[in-house]
Amino acid sequence: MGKMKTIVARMPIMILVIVLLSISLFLFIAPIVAPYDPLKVEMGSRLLPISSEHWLGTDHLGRDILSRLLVGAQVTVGSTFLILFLSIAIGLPFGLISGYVGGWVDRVLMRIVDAILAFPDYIVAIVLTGLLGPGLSNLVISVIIVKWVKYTRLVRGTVLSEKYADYIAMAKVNGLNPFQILTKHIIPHVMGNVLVLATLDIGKTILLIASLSYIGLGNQPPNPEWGSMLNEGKQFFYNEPQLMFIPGIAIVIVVLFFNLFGDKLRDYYDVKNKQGGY
Amino acid sequence: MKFMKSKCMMLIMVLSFVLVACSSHDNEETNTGGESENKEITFLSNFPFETMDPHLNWTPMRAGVVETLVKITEDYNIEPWLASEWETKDNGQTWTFKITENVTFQNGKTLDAEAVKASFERNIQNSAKMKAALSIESMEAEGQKLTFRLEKALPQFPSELVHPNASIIDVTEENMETAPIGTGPFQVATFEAGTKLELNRYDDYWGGKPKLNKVTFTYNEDANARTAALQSGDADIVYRPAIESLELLKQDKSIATEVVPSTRTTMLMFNMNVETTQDENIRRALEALIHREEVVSSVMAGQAEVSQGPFLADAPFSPSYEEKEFGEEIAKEYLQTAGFVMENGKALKDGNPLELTLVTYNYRPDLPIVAQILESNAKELGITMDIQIVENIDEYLKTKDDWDLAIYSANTAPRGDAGYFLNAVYMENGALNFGEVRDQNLVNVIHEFNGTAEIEKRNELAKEAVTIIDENRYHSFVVHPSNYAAYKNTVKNYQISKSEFYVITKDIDIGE
Amino acid sequence: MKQILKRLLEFTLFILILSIVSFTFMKLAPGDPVRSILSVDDVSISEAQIEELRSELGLDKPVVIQYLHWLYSFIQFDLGHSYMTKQPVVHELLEKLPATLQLTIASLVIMMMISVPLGILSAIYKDSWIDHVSRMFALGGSAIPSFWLGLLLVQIFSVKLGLLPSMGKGSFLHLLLPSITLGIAMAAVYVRLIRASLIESLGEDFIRSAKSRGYSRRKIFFQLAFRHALAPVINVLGVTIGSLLGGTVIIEVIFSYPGLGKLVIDSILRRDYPVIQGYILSMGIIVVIVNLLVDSTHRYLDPKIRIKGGE
Repeated sequence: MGKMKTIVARMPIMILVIVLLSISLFLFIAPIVAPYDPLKVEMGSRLLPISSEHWLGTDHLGRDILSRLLVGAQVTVGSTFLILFLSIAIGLPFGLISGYVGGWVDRVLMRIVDAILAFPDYIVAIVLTGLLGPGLSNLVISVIIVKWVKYTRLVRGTVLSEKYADYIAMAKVNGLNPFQILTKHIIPHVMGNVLVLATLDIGKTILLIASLSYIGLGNQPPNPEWGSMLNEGKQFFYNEPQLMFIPGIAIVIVVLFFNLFGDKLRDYYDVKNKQGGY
Repeated sequence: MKFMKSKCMMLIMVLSFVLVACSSHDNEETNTGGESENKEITFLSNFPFETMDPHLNWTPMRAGVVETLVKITEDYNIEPWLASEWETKDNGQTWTFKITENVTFQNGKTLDAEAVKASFERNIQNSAKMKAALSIESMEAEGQKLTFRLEKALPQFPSELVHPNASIIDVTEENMETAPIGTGPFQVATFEAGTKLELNRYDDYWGGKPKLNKVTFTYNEDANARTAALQSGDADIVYRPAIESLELLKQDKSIATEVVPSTRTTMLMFNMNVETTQDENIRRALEALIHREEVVSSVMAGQAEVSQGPFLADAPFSPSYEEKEFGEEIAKEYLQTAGFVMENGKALKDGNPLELTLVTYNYRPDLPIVAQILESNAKELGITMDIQIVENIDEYLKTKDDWDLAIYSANTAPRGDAGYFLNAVYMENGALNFGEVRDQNLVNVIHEFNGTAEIEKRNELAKEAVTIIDENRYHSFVVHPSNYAAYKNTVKNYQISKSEFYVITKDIDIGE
Repeated sequence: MKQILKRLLEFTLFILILSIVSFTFMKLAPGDPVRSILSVDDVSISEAQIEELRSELGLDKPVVIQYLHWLYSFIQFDLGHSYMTKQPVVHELLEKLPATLQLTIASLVIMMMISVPLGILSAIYKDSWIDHVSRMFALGGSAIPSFWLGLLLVQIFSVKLGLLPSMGKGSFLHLLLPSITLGIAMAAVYVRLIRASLIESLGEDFIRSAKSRGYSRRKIFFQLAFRHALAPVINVLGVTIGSLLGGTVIIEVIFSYPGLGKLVIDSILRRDYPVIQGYILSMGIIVVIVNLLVDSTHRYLDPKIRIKGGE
């Protein structure tokens, strides 16, 4: 029975890992699948409509839109994953320390977290990227600065609620040092919540990156990115609306997928947690 | 539960009533404007106007609210305006201007030298830019005679006074940043920063009664929306409609279009501190990779002129140039002369590949496109180019040294004089000499140019300087983008100025 | 009294830290306002003149000195002057504030107009078609990038159909497109929130006891359940107003809407330091005030507290 339970409990994480792996794999092979060089300017074939040669047509510089969309996914979704990974990598240890150590360390950390959280994430990201100078790497840095605090707070909360649980006390009695307790008992407990939050965050982060790239603060041409593709396509909306529709719809679909997935995952965890509670 | 249902329906109905009420109310409001006997036009552009302070913004000048002492004509001549004549005795350090008689401010006050002096005093105090550009040391006003004493000899001083920020206002009035009082044909009625400016005719304008009663100046950043505003009749004159829509608009019989080459030039800059770009052959090879005609026809949708040099071909200081050829083969030849060989699709010299960093900026949307064309063409020759779009281009080019090329756009003859461009770009301390071009021969010619007041002689020296620049390919000049506008054909006497200084004039009229 | 004093102290500390951090960051980030003030692409200016202006503005001094100088003026309620328009920063901010507030409020109204009816209906008719429709709306609404939606609305309603103005501000009509854009994106979150919150409160003990005490359905729904459901909604609203202010930045840029967001983007691009600093501070103050308001509304709305205390 016990074994069955842990397998069921770990199920969503496994599914998540499988999905993430397959998406990563797809992102990895996107440039190979792409039928054309997404950067190749071909002034002779600009603004071509959808055809069997160019499945989604070409843009104002004669570049194949499908190829740009595929490689753009690498930039948009790839940098989103990078941001979330790094945010967790920063947020998790701080949250653990803050929650487990407590005292003035906790207080100082929480003041910083509060100060950053007090600001709307869009404003912080825009001001930071604007000041650092437009560019994808600066955008990634700014978004991480905005995001890590959420994870710190979440982890801290979870640690606080678990800190005095019986099994932790047992572990202490058994002579495990704090590091062992954190890695063996608390981190596995925290990770579920963190992954749910991260999955729910994917959609938001994609939207944030695309918005900032759209207003020219993020990704820079000629690199394809969905937000900057929209920016470039805007001036042709009048005659070539597909330049605006295709990247936009791509964003909607991907964000929708991750949101749905995050919802499912959260529902599942809620159910599981409640069952555990009773 | 039934009860609750009806309650909700009611709520929804009430909400929709509110919505309908709101929108219908507003429809009425927009209709009341309607047709009137008055002659009025709406001018729509993307000229920004956050403030109406004429010493900081160009809109007061463009809207015909204020005027300058002298103006520039379409063929680069400096003409009298608020000053009727002027002279210098010591080769440009002391200047005496005679202020035009019978000019009045829009509050009825007569314009005299004292008022002009006061305007300049405020200008220098408020605008660090104008203070630096004019370098006025002192002024003396006597009746209609105003004498400037400058910090240094400035033979092109009258040309500096053409600047829209050098315009004259009555500084005794309040609210100079929202409703300045100038001498122009139109005065400010209402002003909403960044949105809308309404102007009324100034009946006693010294140049004669303006033909229009009212002018509305509006702003819209989106070129498609500007085109749409013209088609729907919301605007009478639209400056820079969507470039792609211009052909379509030309076919419309009720719409007239105008295209005028501008004094702006798109150019390729080279970093002269870098070994590769120091080589003239490399510069020539890169130049050959930008096909000018293609840039004009596809990037600029035909709204540009191929440039041979920094200045428009019809400028009195443009020399005749040697014919330039473009194409991959020509570029390849120059590369070979520079010592590069093609191996496995890479251009190599002593085993090292040719890798260049190309910097440009987004403010002018055509620049990144030209950069991408160059990058793509260079790739064919095995040259790797890394495009960096930076936001503060001037500062980047000045302070960083990690770039090799830049695509830059500059107004090369903003006030009808070659002096600005030559000094800013080729002198050692020039504010735009980003690539650090150092050519003693060229510097000597510019020095001589700076010390010369006589126009003919100045133009000859400028030509000499430009020829040196051209022969050495210190820059490669790509295109002169055009200024273009579309307007209803009922609008009369509207003209685009090359300089973009003058927009609304007393002569613009609207008929049936 | 002690509570207020403590709050005040916290507030001052927050503003102080905020100003130090934003100031340092601003100065460390690359960017040079002097060149844009002098607009070197327009008039011929030498490096010497550039340096002269830099020292005139005090920008050549160490950051600490610059900060102390700024702080000294700030204590006297002086945020300095914009480099570009020469207007006092306070004046610039106050001039743009109403436009942004209008947009924020209009978006909130639109958000309510969509989410309240949808939320209520889908709570009452749980699992019916209307519940599914509202769920679809919620999912879709939160997946559409608001800048894209805004652009589509502009292209359809103002460029193609010519019905609504696309840019600027002025009439009610100018407000419509930007606030619909923002409102839809927010409503997506609230439909679900209101629904979930209502379903939960309808199942609460105090509702059951009210039923047994013979309260009318109407009273139960609107006075008890709805009110109870509002508390978490208001709570989230506090957070939302913050992100709404953030969302307005993008929307203001897209619609060229002359509000605070457009101002700060323009100022960042031109490195107009006094305006950026002023904007960050005023945002900080707004966020703190909103949080205070939410706190107090929350107490007022919670019927558990009221029922226990009053009836």
